[in-house]
Amino acid sequence: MRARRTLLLIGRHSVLIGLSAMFAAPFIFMLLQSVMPLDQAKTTALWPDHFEWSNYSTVFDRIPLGTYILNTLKVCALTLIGTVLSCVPVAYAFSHLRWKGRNVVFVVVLSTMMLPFQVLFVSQYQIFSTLGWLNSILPLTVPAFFADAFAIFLLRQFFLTLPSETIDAARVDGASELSVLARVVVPMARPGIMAIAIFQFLFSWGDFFGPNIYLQDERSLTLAVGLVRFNSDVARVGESNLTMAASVVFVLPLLVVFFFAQKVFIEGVTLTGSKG
Amino acid sequence: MTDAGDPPERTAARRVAARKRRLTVLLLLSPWLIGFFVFTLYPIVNSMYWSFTVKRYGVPARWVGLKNYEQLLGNDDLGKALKNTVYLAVFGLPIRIGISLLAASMLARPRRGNGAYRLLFYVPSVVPAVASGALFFFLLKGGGPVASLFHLFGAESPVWFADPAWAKPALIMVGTWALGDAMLIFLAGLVDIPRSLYEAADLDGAGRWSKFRHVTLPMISPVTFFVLLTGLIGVLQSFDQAYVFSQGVRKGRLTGEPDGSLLTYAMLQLRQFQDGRIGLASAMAWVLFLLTFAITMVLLASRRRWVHAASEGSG
Amino acid sequence: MTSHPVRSIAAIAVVATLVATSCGGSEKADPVPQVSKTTVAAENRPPTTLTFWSSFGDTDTVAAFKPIIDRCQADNPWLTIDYVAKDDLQAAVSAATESGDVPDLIQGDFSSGLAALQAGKIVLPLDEFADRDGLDWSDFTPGAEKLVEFDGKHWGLPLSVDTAALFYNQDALDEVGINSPPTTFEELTTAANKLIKRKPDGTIERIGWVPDVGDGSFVMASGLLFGGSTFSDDGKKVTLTKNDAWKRSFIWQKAFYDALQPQDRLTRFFDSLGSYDSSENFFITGQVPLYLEASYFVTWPKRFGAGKPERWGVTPMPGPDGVADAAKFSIIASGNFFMIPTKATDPEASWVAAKCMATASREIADFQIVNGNIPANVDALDAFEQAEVAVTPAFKTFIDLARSPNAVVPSNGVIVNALTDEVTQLALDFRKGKIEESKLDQALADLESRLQDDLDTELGGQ
Repeated sequence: MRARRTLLLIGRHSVLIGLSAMFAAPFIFMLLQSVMPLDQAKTTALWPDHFEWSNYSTVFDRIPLGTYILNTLKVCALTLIGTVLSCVPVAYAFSHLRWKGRNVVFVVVLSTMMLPFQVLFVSQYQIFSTLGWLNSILPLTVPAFFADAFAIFLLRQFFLTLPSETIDAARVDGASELSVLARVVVPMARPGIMAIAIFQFLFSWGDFFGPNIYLQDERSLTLAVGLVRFNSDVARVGESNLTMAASVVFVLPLLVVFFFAQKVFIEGVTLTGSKG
Repeated sequence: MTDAGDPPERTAARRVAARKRRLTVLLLLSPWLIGFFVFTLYPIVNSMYWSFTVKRYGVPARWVGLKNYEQLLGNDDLGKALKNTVYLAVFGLPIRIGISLLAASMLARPRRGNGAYRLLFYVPSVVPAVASGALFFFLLKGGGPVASLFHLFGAESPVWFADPAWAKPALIMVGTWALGDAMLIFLAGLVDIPRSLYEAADLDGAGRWSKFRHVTLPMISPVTFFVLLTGLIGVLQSFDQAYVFSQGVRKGRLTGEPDGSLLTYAMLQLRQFQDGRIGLASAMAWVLFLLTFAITMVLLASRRRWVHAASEGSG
Repeated sequence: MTSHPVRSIAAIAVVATLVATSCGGSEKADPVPQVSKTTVAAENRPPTTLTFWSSFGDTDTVAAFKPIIDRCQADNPWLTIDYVAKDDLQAAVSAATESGDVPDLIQGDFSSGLAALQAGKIVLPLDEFADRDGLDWSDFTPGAEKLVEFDGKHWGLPLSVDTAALFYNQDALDEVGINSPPTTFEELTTAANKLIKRKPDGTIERIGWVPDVGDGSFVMASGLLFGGSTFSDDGKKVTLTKNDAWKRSFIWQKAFYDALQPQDRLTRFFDSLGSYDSSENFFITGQVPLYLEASYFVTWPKRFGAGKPERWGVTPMPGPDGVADAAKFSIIASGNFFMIPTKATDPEASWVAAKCMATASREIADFQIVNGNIPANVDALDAFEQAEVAVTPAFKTFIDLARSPNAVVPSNGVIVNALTDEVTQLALDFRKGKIEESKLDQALADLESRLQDDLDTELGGQ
């Protein structure tokens, strides 16, 4: 019996290790390339002769990475807060309240996702121009406070998986919808809320187009723009090791965020014992 | 809504409750409503208008009625592109959903090492295209690791992105790599499932597969629906990966080589944007919208059969 | 008396839309500003700050560009130029033009977009300014001037040009007994065939030359080599069948591929080529010893080759008369230039800035020595040549090509991208045998008439 369990364990781990090695390969590849000395970067070797950690300080010297990171964090924090604050009530209205025309309006929400960004952005630019928001981060941050369709859709679906008995019970107790939402639904839906927060963070972190169009001041630029500029500079002289180093700097915070977030919502939930 | 036999106070009370409820709904919806009218509606209406015109940025639009749409109907490339896009959706989406669900269900418990595995699975979806593009070319090129693997078994590896038969499967492979976000969504959905349901199933003597089929799948079906629908929209609209890997694109032309096997609808649309033909490009966008909308409606209608909503109100 | 949430929402929606679209953007045509007849004297100018959108974003290039700006601000003390880098300049300019928030000055490569600039009235033609202030177009190389010309007007002031030539690996040529690089189409075909090296089992080890690695990237340029045409000078007619150049060019290209059949061997050869940006680059390794490429590639052997190939050089491609001679024929494929948006607040000030920056020859030469593109300004080019050729002799060919009095520039039309994609596809289909040679004329004529319909629709009597 124990032998069987051990075998299963080994089997499970080998599958997972194998698969995750494949999945992690791009990052490992990036890491290896990023610490290569310049001469070696010009060949197609895979393993560095020695680990040139100074590549990272070179990258920080060449472009104001610190400023870019701070700017990006600022935008990300604002959009994250805006998304969570605005999407929770909207998703709740679509999932746990009954009202006439609910399905129609929801289909309208879905429809706004079906047009590609390219056809819309010039008209959006006009709106921001009329509002006087050009050359600032307002076009990047304010719309997040007004509920993005994807996030609404996702959160609504999560809300739909919550047990209605608990919610109904709270209602029967006479609580208003808003307080039901805040005190009962939100705690139960923490994983879903964290998911939309993570996605918003990811999007804002990596968004190149928005800052390129709407920001003018060099000092307010974000990391995504900085990275593109750096790569085009570096491409001229073939320093692919630096490109990879910059890419690692770009990716690392995202992985850190993901790691802590999923620890919280997978392990945090069972700790508080609010389910089951 | 009133019953004939109700006393007046109850009818009045009901009316007050109904009004209160409407106000609550409006309040809850207000962020989206305001955003819709201020930021979203004008661009959408504008693009619809432009689809019936010849429009170039900088000059007023010129009305031409259905001409753009007629032109699209007569375009052979369009049929080819749509077929390619549909192929990518029909084969790519189930694979993506299947594998990410599998990974999520294996990793949904707070077991030792799971956190690290989850992270590793998630990595490709945040790695910038420049790095994963380089990696894939290194892996898949002739004489590279994958080719050597084939040689070990005495076979010749296909030429992947240069072979019309393999270009799309290879592209699907690359796309599946970055399924981290789908896995994340499934993780969040799986975590929400109450333990008690599994315990009850155990008592009934259900095995692992049976529990998966009768507890897990129905409970996360709303979330599965999200992954499916957004995946569909993503495939229909995006050209990112086909763009990077199509040979007819790497040097800047949108021919979808090899043999047009990687020509997507989005590439054709991009061509019109590059030429500044905004009217035609908008018409293409709206044709795609209609297609997406139609498929969505079909999915929504059929959903009743397979989505189990654990809460009140139809999903 | 029930207020229906959805109904009231819908009503607001209709009203809002009507209001929004009636206030909408540039749906009215703005009149094009008139150029004033006299130049305003410098003393009478108020301090002016111009927003300058430029395509150069990376730190080093921007830093190298700064002296040009400093010089012009020094020459015109009332002028301040605010440099703003826009990495996706095309998108930024489109959006700005539509909403009216254009910058005062633009710099970038819009060489294939001149027809679009004209059709959208996005930038001002500069001829009146130039005539009034005595700007001599011969300050720029002939090719550079052609680069900014469309429909009889000049739409920008040239900054740099880009041209391509044939790189040859003399080590490989020696191996097959060829002492000097090919200078005619026939010599190129002969050399290409001689250089093919196969293993006994048919695997290709080396090829001589192919127009492209199967992606069709050379199709348009090869048409120009044979004297092919795409659009009329006013951009209103598609002129693919003006002569039989495209047909001859397709046939010429196909011959190279035919010599390398069977196709699967060739595909595997291309697939096995190493990474372009590395010591495995196919020119450096000698796998493809003849390679047509732009001037930037000159730095590749030094940067990645570490001594390989030992002997290599650059030579012009043959032109329509069949002979390679920079003075007689060259192609200016693209280039950067300064432009003034039509809706700029003070076109006169923008003109002063543009004219100064485009003729600051000393500073431009220094800039391009760092940046690596070939200057359009004649004096800058002289200084640039002295500096660069001393370091990399192979560069001389590119500079000769850039200087050529008979430089040719691809013609422009608003559907240029669609035309390029379609012509490329036709060439690829012909290469693969999907179209017979006897049907080629018809295929080109059909393509031309289809594209003409598109063009007519888009221009609609403008």
